[in-house]
Amino acid sequence: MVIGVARTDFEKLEVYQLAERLADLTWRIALHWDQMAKATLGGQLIRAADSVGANIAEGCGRGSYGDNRRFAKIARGSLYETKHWLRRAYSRDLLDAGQIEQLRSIIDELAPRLNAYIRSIGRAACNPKTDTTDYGPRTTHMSTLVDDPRVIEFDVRTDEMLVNMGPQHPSTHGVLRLVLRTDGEVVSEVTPHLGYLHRCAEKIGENLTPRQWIPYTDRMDYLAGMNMNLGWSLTVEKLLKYEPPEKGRHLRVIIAEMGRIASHLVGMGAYGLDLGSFSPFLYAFREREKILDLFEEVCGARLTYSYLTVGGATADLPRGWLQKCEAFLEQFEPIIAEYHALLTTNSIFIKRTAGIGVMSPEMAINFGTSGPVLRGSGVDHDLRRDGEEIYTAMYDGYAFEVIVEKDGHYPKDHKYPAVPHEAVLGDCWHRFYVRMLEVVQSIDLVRQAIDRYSTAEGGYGEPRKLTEKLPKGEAYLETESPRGQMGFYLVSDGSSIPWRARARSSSFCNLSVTSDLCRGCLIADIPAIVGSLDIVMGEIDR
Amino acid sequence: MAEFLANYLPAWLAYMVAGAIHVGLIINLVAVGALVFIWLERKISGRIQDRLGPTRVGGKFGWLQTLADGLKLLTKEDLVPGGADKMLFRIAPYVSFCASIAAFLAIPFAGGDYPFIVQHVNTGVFFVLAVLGLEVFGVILAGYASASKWSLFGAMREAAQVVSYEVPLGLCAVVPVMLAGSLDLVVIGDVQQGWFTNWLIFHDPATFLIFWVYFTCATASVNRAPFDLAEAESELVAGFHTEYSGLRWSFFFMAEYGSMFSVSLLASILFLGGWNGPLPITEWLGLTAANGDIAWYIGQVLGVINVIGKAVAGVCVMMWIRWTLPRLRIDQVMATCLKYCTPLAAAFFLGAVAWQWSLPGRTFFGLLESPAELQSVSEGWSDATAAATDEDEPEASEDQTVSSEPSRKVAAAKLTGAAALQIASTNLQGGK
Repeated sequence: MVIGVARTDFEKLEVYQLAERLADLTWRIALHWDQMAKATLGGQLIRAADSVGANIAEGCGRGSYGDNRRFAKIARGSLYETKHWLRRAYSRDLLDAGQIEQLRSIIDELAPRLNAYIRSIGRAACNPKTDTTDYGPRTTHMSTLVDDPRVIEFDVRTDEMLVNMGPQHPSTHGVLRLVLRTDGEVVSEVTPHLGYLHRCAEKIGENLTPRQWIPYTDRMDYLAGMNMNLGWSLTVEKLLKYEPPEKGRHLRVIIAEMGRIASHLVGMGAYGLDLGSFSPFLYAFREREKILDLFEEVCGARLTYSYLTVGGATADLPRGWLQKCEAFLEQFEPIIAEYHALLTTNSIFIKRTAGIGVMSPEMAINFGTSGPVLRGSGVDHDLRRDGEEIYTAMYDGYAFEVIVEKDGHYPKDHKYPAVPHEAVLGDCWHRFYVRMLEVVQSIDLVRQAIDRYSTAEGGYGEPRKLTEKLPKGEAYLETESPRGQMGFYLVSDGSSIPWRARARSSSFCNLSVTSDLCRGCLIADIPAIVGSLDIVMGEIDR
Repeated sequence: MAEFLANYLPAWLAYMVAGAIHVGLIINLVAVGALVFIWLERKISGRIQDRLGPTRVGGKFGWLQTLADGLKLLTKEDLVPGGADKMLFRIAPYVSFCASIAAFLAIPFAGGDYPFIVQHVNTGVFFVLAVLGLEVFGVILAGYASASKWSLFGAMREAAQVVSYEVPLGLCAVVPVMLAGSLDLVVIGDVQQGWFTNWLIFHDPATFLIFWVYFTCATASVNRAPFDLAEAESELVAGFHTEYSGLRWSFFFMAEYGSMFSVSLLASILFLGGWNGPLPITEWLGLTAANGDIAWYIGQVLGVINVIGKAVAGVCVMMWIRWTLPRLRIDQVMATCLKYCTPLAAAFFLGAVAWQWSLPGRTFFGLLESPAELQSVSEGWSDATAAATDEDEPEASEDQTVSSEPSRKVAAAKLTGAAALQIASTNLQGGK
């Protein structure tokens, strides 16, 4: 039973149901009294008994704690009045033993529950079924009786405060707004609000040809624009039943995995910021800049690339680029140890993240999370391996392991720092760790792709014509973008402009767990948990 | 100085002029110190983060950057939120700033018979710690008066933090006091004369370890990362100073950097030899009072450079920590201070007592003979252990031999923190 706030479902309240039973019972009893008793006692009794439930209901509808509490107290007054009239009826021999027994059982239950209800008003709603966090006596249910020892603690409780974290807040990653209900430092409820960055990208997609919509996909997950380009291109290619040439396939792997590294670098650096450590952010950006330099050479843009496109890519890799890319990887790989020293294995970092925001594998699956958030909970799922044929074909023949804790350990293909004993599978630390390991994995993938690309024959895949008619039908494809499974959906009526274009955001599902993960944590844990989900609002709001 | 001026001016005017000069010097020290530290912080953080930091303002190295920032802050609008308690909101930065400056009144910059100090307080350690504790009132006031929920969170955290770090901080400061046998900062500094082996940090293993506990708690007391919970920008927007702008905001920062400087000065006097360099260079060069006033004065100035150098090094370490570590959570800060630092400080205190009791008259981890200045204190220890007689406190006699004539006058006044403030403002003396 959930107690709480300005709710409209008062019918579900146990106090209300008891009050209903009381009112109906007194009615039935008084119905058989004589005229005299009905006119004097009966009317008063029924009015008082009816008033109990009526006031509970009215208080519920008022929408504020103050009003609700006031009406609940009036209900308590009415209950005492009912008791008075029943005592009068008893002393005037109007009640038989069976009726007294029935009435007493109701009143004995109703009175303490009403008291507990009054006390609970204004306290956070806690659902004992979904709530696994134990935060002390605040998890109270309707069964709390007056003689319950916990009740005494309620009397010295502090007032709750409703705080808006965002949309203008340093650590809500853009324009996310979280409404926190806090009691001191303890957060009892977190409600995310979205939509501050909505740009109607999907509607625009219904008015442009697929290739013209590519720049709009850049602006979804703007930290991994290349991977967004890839997702949409593959979806259109699925509809067209087109397969890019082998060289183009490897080119896409190079670019997509470099995009993944660049994106995870931001995720890692920003997570350090969330925890109050500024330097790792700049260390991460230093390396990201180098990747952006490489991307700039490839397509001229540093953030919104529009490089990978339907058919392949807008241009081949420039001469000498592969050597530069290899040189970067060579230089970048040893630096990862620095990140591990500053964050992953830093004892304060472990203190702040280990055991915080623990998400079970079942919960991760039920909420539809994906990417590192899902794998951080120990679910072995990566679309690069488990995805649709048209996507996994890209990674055909590549040697890589899915970064996930299997049989109690992570892949052992490289020397990774050990998992600290405080860390629990599915907590913030593991989500962060998965990202860090995926960077290493991506380095391997890029190296393999460079080898294959340089030996592959044929073209890199010319872009398809802008005005090319799409075949009638629909296509949906999910790809493994850095933040999770990014899905694109395309319905065509046979013209060159899609009839419907949709995007399924991974960050959206990943964000949906915040309410449950943040319940009962401290304010300082909110940035830690939200940061570990690594959301990008541009993708959520589209 | 007041005595000197009294030869030429009426007494009340002499005291006022002397007071104004001292206060002017201290405010300049704090303000210029903050100016330098903010520039230093930006340079250090820049270098730590592979950047250059400020490079342009003022020619090379951007050394005028802070001044440019200050000018910008001066021109900003002085905003007061509509719902704020306007008076408290306006006062709060000054409370912090005044507390931060007031601590310098009792901090000596050079010792000897005529120490460089605004007011020679013979309970200097107590006074400085007490006044530094006042700084948090400004923070709590600011948070309370801002009418912002984030500010309120910052103030609540500060209040929770202050009760946790004050206890171990005080316990740590007690150890040098015990070893020197005096609460007088001048005495504590002077007993560490000679080689660096006489520094109290190297006195025994317990003092060596308790120095780090002191430094941790001192970092917490000045709200520096990883204990900067009251302003925690990633959680509380800007914490207690969310609603502040312009010059009022900068006063909080002057106070923060001032306190960083004063706790580092305290650390260098209590543990790191104060104005005594690692080697007795001033003695080798004959820069002592025996060789005339000028030589003595140069020696004293060298001492000032020494103590300030050590303090600046301490501040730099704090900056290094800030740009390296993530922030702790409030419960973890309280656990660190109360659950770890307090028992550690208590244990090290007992360790230092036991060491001094079993090895009196030794220093540098018991390897060397104590210098003469420490010996007299040690005699008190050996007397106490041998005879356990009820004679007068050995510290009292020690105090009289080391401290100067005026300091005894102050000692007679039986100072409390508040009385010390009063005396500091009316009875200013110092230097020669």
